[in-house]
Amino acid sequence: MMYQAPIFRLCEITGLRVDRTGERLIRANAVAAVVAFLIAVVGALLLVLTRWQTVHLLPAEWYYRILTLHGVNALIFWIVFFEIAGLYFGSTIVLNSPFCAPKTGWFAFGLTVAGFLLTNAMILSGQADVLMTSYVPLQAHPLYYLGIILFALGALVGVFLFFGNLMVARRAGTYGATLPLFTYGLAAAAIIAVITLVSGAIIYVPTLLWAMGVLPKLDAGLYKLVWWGLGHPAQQINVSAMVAVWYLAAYLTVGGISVNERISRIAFLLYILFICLASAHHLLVDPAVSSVWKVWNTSYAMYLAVLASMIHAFAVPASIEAAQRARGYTRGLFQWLAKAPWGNPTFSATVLAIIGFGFIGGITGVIYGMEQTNIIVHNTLGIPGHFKGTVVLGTTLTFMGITYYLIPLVFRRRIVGMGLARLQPWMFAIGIALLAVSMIGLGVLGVPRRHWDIGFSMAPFRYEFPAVADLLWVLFALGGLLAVLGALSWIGIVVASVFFGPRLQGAEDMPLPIATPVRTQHSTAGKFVAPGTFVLTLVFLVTFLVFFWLNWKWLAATWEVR
Amino acid sequence: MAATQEQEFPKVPLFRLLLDDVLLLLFLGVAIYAVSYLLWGVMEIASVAPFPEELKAQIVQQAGGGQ
Amino acid sequence: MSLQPPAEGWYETPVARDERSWVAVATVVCLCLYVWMIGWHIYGRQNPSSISYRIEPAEYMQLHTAWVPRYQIGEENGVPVVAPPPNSDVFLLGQMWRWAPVLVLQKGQEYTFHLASVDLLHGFSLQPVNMNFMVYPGYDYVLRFRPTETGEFTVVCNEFCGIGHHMMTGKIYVVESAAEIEHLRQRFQAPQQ
Repeated sequence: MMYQAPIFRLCEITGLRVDRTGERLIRANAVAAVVAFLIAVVGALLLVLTRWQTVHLLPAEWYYRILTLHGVNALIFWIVFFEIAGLYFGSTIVLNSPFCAPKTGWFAFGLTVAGFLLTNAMILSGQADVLMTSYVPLQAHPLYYLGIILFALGALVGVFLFFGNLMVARRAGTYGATLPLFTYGLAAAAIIAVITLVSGAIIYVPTLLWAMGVLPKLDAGLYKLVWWGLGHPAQQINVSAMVAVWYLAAYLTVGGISVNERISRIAFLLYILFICLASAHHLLVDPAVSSVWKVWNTSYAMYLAVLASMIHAFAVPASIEAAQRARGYTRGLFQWLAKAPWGNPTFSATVLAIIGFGFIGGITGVIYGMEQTNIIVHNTLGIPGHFKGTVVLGTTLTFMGITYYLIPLVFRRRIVGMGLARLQPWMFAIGIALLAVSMIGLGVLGVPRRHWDIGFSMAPFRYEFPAVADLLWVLFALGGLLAVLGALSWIGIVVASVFFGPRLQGAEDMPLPIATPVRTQHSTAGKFVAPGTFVLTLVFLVTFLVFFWLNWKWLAATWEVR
Repeated sequence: MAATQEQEFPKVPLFRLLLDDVLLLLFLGVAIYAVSYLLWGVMEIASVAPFPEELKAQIVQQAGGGQ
Repeated sequence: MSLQPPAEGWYETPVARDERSWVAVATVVCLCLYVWMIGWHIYGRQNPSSISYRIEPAEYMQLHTAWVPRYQIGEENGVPVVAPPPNSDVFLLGQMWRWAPVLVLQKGQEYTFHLASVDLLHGFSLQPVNMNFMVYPGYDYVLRFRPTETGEFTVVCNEFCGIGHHMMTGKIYVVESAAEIEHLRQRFQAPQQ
């Protein structure tokens, strides 16, 4: 095969050399991501209007079916397609480097698209009513499992291409010894992706064989253990990628850089080493595994990976604050925040995501994931409430935000509907926050997740949830509808811009400016570089402790169990 | 930035080398997860004891008596 | 710059006072969380047990069926009602789509629950107490419960188990003492309407 030298275009806005084939691969994966997201959002709308039993839109069979569809498209397809695009972006364009093997990239894309189509077809045809987790002995049609395997294979190839790109860039000396922080965060995500996808192969291949009748039996306990080695690390990829994008967004919107690169990188190191252990929090109230295994693993090794998140919780806003203070916004504790570019939808999306991920997703995540408090939340609506806070309000909103720069830079189009774009992060954030908090509240009342009828109208014994649940369901519906509006707005803007937006002529055409980096000076030792952020993190800590106290108090009020 | 220094080899701290080495990090991440979560978890599941015979016999016997 | 390699000397840059303090505080909190979980195992009254057995579904069904009649006091909605003695083994069965039997327990007494399924995964969700445990086919999860209040409690299934999942509920009654069990015996032996 003839070696084809990469063709570059010089980006007049950033000065970076852009490998054109690599850029086409980024675009292809980004488009696929949005298609998957649209399916997930339509599913979400149907589900919100079903769980809110005043409407109870879908019949039982279709509820469980669309729940499967929504879970797989939202938690896997949308996010992984977007991340592959991001991985390629971070390992080629950002590093001024070519794509190492474009043909393999297209092969990987073919695999992921084939898997995406096959899986969705099997779900919609009613042959995979097993929900995203597909807990054995629930069984779907073999082609459902094959679809997921194809997708995972394609994604794994994409991840290896990321590492390949890094090696090419390193050998060519385009970045020296140390990767830019954004790419470093993506590398952490890629490492976690390897863990995710290899675990997926270990579990889905035998499951496929079992569904085909080749394997006579599959142990339910083994399945759930290994499946969550795919299931939760998949979400930790999202965490690492999201944080990487936060640093990127801070840089683009206000010229922020990490106040201490060593500390930020150590935080990513802790993610790499320990974050995947906490898949154990899905098995805390399961038999077979011991409390010793549960406590060690669910704690991410003594909460070292949680420490990592807390480091980023300071470092990311601090990067914004330090840059703003260097610009002269030094009055009081929060002038830097008040005078920040709130009219920039990437900025607002990023800040809303940080707050939402931290306060809603993160706090519930840590406490729900403690061995004993899990007793009062497992399989209640609080669990999806938690992860709306992390993967939707956090990762998805972050990804939505950064597209307002990536569309001009990678697709070379202006944003169509900038006015709506400024509103969009707020619609989505407020909607999801309302949705998540009401789900958490309903979970406190014991309302089950993945359940079509909590009126138990066809059950031998009825149970009536407390009256306040009715109010929470209304808030749930309102939040859900607002979030769907926010999501559809984003999709509309993205599609209109990418396919019909006016072409970008040059740097002056950028709909959102790239901030000029500021020199944040001299020695920081012994100083407070981000006093406002420091106060905010303390507020966060207090909130966490309150929620901690509440949940352990509620646990202590239940029956004794040992 | 030049990839090689001919005059001096400044001593690079080991920890910094670790932080910069993506492939080593990949190995460590996979290894720690594989041992602590996967292997240990599989071992525990595989070693679950069978239901004790005495208890089973006791329950079944009592049932026979109770009829 | 996040898009560019870090500035020279990034590794040696001293950590600012606020970041240093925050990391120190966060580290202490993290270690405390870990110790807290371990401590609750020693001092707390709610802990998932580490006791489980491997058992074939057919075997468990046999055990359950053998055990139910011994302490049965009647029937409700077609489900046997069983009032086991304190400190004895209780064999709760989860199957598509019912929980059996209905239980009558005494407040303050401990019971050794066995939770197992004979088909798919189910979720034992006790309301309104809101205690939630997983129920597996092939595994017997042994949990010693001590009810701390009297009343009527519903067992909801909260793990998806097919199209009848939302119809799967059970019942547990907790009474003050053994005397009240007689009351319930009258109620559950009455002909069902």
